[in-house]
Amino acid sequence: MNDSTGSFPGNNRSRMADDKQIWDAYQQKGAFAELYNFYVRDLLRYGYRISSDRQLVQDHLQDLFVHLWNHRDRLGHVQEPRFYLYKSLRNRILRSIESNRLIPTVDGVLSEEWFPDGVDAEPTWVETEHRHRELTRLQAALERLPVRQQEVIQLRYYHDFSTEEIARIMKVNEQSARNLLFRAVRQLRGQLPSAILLLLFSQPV
Amino acid sequence: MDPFADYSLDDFLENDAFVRWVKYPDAGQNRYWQQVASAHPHLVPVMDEARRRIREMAQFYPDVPESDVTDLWQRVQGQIRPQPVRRFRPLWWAAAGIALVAGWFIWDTGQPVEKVREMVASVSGSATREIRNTGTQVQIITLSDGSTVSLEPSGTLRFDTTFRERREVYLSGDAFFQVRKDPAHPFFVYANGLVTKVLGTSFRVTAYERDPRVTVQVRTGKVAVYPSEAAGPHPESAGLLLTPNQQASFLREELQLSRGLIQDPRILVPKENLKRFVFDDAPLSEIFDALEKAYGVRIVYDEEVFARCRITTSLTDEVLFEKLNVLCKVIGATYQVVDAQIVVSGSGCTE
Repeated sequence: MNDSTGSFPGNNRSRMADDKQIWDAYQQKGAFAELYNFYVRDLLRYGYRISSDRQLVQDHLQDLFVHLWNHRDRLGHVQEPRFYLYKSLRNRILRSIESNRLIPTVDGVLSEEWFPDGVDAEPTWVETEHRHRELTRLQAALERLPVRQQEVIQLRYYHDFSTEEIARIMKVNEQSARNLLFRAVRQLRGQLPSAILLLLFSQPV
Repeated sequence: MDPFADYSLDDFLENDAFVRWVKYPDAGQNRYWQQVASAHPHLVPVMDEARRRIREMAQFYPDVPESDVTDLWQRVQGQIRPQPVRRFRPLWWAAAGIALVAGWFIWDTGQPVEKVREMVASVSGSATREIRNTGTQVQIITLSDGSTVSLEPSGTLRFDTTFRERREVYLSGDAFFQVRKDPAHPFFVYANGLVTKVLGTSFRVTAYERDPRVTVQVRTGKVAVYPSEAAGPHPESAGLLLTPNQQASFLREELQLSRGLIQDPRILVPKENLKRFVFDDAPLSEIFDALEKAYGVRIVYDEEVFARCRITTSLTDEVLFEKLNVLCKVIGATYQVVDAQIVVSGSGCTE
């Protein structure tokens, strides 16, 4: 099996080639376990970012993979498998949440209040202990961003999607995706000083 | 026209070509961005900052425990319908292979069938390497990150082919770990329901299939342990943080986790520093202070009661409890280990 499962293969282009190879093997030979193993970690990483309810994310990812198993012959049209999988997972998760709390804003862009902010920001004692070593100031600041901004940063800088792809995944127009990313980057800068203060105060005595 | 003349930090962060170069550099792009830098020396610190930020943002994603990956695979397996044989011939061959492996496990280990199924599921779910020490000697395994595992006979160590990215291993049996320091990638040991999380350190995990207890003993560094049942974004908060010479015991049935001292606490300071620990007619408090430092333990005693005890001794590289036995004999006291603390009691010394 492939050693570059998930995140950091040699370069961007070879990852796209891997995507295609894995998908073709699944389409033509039913290489389902390989497909699962290749994508599951990145999909969980993405799912856990957009919802703090990990059980819910796992439920929907399970459904997605079962769907892939059952409908292999109907998915021949998929051109960009990675994109398709992220979008499907996101749709499934949000559809189930939307029925509970959907807060549209004036400009039609969905609000950042979909998810409670800062669920992950509460440091436990071990986290505090590790934090000043393990997390840089920037990482700490990232965790304090609204969840949708965290999502856009992760999609852009970890999962390597372009703003155009991010827009399609998040179902907004490209300008909105771009704005969201700008806002996140700018807000990060604004948050850094306070993040430094936080670190100073959370260091063990 | 020069697009970079007025470039700011944000502009670099948003430049697709720049981001691609930072994440996946190659010779051609190196040359290109070096030219940009030498044409605009004032941009060099900005570019450095942008590179640092992109690298860090690229590492920004939530933890995904390997147990989630294997659990989910089992759930998917439980739900998928069998398909017509002809269409899925490759999978049938795989299944036959799995059955063969399963047969081998039953024959080789005599383990209950349920356990076998668990292993098979994970073997088929992700590319897993399994090392089983069938010999009579300790087997030393060097992992791809440079960490080493000394696996005792009859122990089994499993890890995924993605180990480089997620430092996670599964242990059944007894093993001593020396983990290479890498704060950005914590190292996890999963053993019979107990998770051990470390950054870089050495410790022993004992987890035999038939043993109701799992123990983790720490030699150096700090180690977090918690039951794998612990959920939520910070499962460590359900566990313990262990320091050198401490151990955790975990009762699998009761899900009970407790802290104690290891059986043979060793001196933690370098041997050459021991020369400083020589005491001539010194107060007991001074010696206990030295012991606390040298072994990383806490000694609890009534200072007033023992105020008049004076002792001549030196510290050598011996097991803590041997040292304490001698000391206590001299001052007519006894000691007990309570929750990783040493409690000394007695009636004190006369002049």
